[in-house]
Amino acid sequence: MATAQKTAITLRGSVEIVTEFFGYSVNSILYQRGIYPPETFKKVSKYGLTMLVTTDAGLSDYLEQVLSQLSMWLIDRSVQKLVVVIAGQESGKTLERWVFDVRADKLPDGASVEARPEKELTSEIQAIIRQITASVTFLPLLDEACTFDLLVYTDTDVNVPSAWEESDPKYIAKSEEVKLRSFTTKIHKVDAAVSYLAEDD
Amino acid sequence: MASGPWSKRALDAGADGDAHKRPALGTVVGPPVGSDCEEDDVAGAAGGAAPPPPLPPPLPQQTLVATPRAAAAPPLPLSGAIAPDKENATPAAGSIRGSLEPSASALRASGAVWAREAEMLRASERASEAARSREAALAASELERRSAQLELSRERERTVALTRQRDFLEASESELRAQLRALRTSAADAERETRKALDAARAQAAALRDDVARERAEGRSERSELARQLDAARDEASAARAEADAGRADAAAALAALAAARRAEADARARAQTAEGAQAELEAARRRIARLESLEQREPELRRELEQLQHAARDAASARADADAARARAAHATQLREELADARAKVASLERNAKDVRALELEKTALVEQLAEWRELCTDDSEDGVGGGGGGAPSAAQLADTLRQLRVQVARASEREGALAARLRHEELAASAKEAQAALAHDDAEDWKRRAHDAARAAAVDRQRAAAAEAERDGSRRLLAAYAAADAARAGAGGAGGTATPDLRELQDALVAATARADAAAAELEAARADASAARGAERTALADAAAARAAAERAAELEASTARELEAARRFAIDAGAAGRANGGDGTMGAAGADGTVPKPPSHRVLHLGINPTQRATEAMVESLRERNRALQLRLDALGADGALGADGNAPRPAGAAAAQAAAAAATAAANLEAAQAAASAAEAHADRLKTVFREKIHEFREAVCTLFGYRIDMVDRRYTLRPLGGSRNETLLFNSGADGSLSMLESDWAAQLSPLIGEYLQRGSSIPAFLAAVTLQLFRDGPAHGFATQP
Repeated sequence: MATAQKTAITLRGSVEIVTEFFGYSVNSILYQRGIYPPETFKKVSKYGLTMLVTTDAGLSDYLEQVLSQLSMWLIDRSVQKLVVVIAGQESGKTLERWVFDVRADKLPDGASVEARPEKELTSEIQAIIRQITASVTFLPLLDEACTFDLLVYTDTDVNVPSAWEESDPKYIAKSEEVKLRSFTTKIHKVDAAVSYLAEDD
Repeated sequence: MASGPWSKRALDAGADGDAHKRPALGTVVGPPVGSDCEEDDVAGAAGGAAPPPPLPPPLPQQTLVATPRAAAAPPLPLSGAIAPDKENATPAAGSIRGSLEPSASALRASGAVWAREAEMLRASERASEAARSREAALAASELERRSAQLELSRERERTVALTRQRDFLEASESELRAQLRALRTSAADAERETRKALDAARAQAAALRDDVARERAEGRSERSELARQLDAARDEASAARAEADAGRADAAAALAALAAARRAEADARARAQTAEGAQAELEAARRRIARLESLEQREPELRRELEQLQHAARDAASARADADAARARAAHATQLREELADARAKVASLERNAKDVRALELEKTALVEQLAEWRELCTDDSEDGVGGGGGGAPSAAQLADTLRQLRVQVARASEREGALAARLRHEELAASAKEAQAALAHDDAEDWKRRAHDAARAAAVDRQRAAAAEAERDGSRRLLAAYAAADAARAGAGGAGGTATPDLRELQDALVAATARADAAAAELEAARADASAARGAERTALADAAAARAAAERAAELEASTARELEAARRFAIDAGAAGRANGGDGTMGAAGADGTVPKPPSHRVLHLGINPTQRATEAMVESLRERNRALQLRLDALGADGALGADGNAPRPAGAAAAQAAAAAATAAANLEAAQAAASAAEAHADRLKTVFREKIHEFREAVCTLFGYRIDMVDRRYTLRPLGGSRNETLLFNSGADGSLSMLESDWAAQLSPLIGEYLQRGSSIPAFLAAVTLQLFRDGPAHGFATQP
């Protein structure tokens, strides 16, 4: 009788999973909110779903740059949040904020913990992606051409490369928030939420 | 029963009419004996008493068949004799009757025959009925018998069961009776035993009662006996007491006599002793006199010693006082030393505070400069009218409020710094004064320490001397007490040898005086000791005061430390105020500016993003487009100005710049349009490329699906379709051509020549290309996996 093998996960493994999730989530948000034309996205299969990933070279480079630095900060346990800010191009007003809270377990370097079953992890990530897709039903329509920015909340003593700079958190003045689901790798816990500009009654 | 001449009714009607006239036939059929037969007339006709004869065989019915008509009217004999049938008589029969009287006898005879036959029939019928009834009765009896048997068997079973129950009941009854007998026997036995026990108990009780009575009687007798004995004893005791009293009286008398005798004896001894004692006393007196003389010789020495002791006591007291003073001064010096150390520490902390104050002052100047910069920025922002990008940028009023609050806090911090500086200066002065005092006190303390040490040594020597003087004094006292006792004894003996010489008295007086002086010295020593203990107490008090002073110094140090902490907090607040001013709503809020003076918490995170990000690119693109638009508008404006200079009639020269500006504007517009068109073209190209890619993917997907589903790879070139089976060789191809009307026709090929039977069957005769292809597919499938049909992915 075959026995289930217990796998362990290290900090690097968890960082990889979380970074990959962020990449796919940002692409989903950009596609679902129409920030970029749909024809600039291609379908790939991930997490048991058909995910849409950008084919725009410039956008891909930008995402690659951000995610690689993010993974380094995640290894240092310096990351607190990743925020996708969607703002109007002309007005400059922040219309939506997709907030991914990251909490890291205080694990010694090189240590590992028992990994969760891949199915469970995949189903949790799936649920978040589905919720991002389903959020179009309640999020207000974006009437104007929009652009986005990726903000990373880090600890104050983090090492900041020269290409990075301090930013305004770009809060929404009158917002409504919807909490989405979360997932955990036992080393990192990621909570998702979306804030959007409340429509005037 | 069918109606007819043989019918019972007809026969009965005929029979009943003259049954009472007809004689018994002797062949009457009746039911068997004992059966319930309803045909009572049969038994009645037979007379009822005689046993029924055996039944004649029943007549066959067909011999009696007659038509209903004939039943209505009996068949006419050939001679025409007809029996009158009044019941079924018809008018025609009546007419016939009247015409046939001559043959009445024949008719009567035939009638009789008929009657006889009818009777026979009736009898047979009765017999048959009786037989049937008998059979029925037999059957019923059989049933009854069977039921009776069944009942009997049931009864037997019930009987058996009842018998078994009875036997069981009898057995149980016998058992119960046996149990009952046994119970009765046991009950009787138990009763007997109970009675026996009861009798035994009664006997025991009676015996016990007798014993108790006996014992009571014995007790009473004993008590009486004891009472008598007691009385006797009391009498004896009283007698004994009386005797004892008498004896005591005798003893007392004897004792008195004895005492008298002893007294007499003692007197005698005393007299004898006095005589001896006088001698001894005389010798003792001589010895005393010698001692007194020696004491007298020693008196000056003793006086000198006493004076010395007194001096020593005075010196000891003074030394003690000096030692106490020295101790006090030493404690004071210690206290001063401690205060000096505290003061030095305070000076060091104040020096540090002074450095911090200087640093704070520097920061304060930096903050003031920052404030000035902010003021400038605020005035610039309000002039430019730029609200700032992003949601949540603070307004100028909010900035001003923040600045005001920061100024207030900076002012408070400066006040605190000034107060701390003043305190520092004051502490410095106090520390320097204390230092000087401490130095002097230190010197005095050293001096007094030396003196106290010397005084202590002298006091120790004096104490030893005083102890020795006390011992000598105690000895002298004891000696004097002994002399006094001896004198008293002499005086009590009657002066036998009690005449003391006047010289002895003088010596005694001198001795007493010396003793008094020794007592006084001892008293002085005691007083000195008391003073020393008081000094020790004062020393302890001084130490307690020093400890209190130390505690006060520690409290002062704590106060200094708290002041330093406040300074540090003020310094940090100043730094944070500067950082908050720089960030200025960096976390979306105006910051806990601390209007109530509280120190705001420093931010716990940083918000970072890539410098080159999509928003920034979009902003730059928008700025660039706005610049281009601006440039174009400027050129247009210049062009308009140039056109106006040329004039409409061409004579008046238009300003050259206007034409140029117009041309430039037009050129700019054209350039802008060109750019827009190029952008649209590039977008369209990208869209087309994307569509091409999508179409290509879809087509490929469709071809693969068709190939998998139908097993043929279909290629189309100019209306010619080439079908190749999966896994087939290059020669295995089928060619189809599509006509203008859309119809398909197969072309010749090498492989098609091998498939001629199928072609003939499905294409030529069946005219069905799908059927042909299906047949080819099946053939290929049967051929095996060589063509890839048997194995599907």
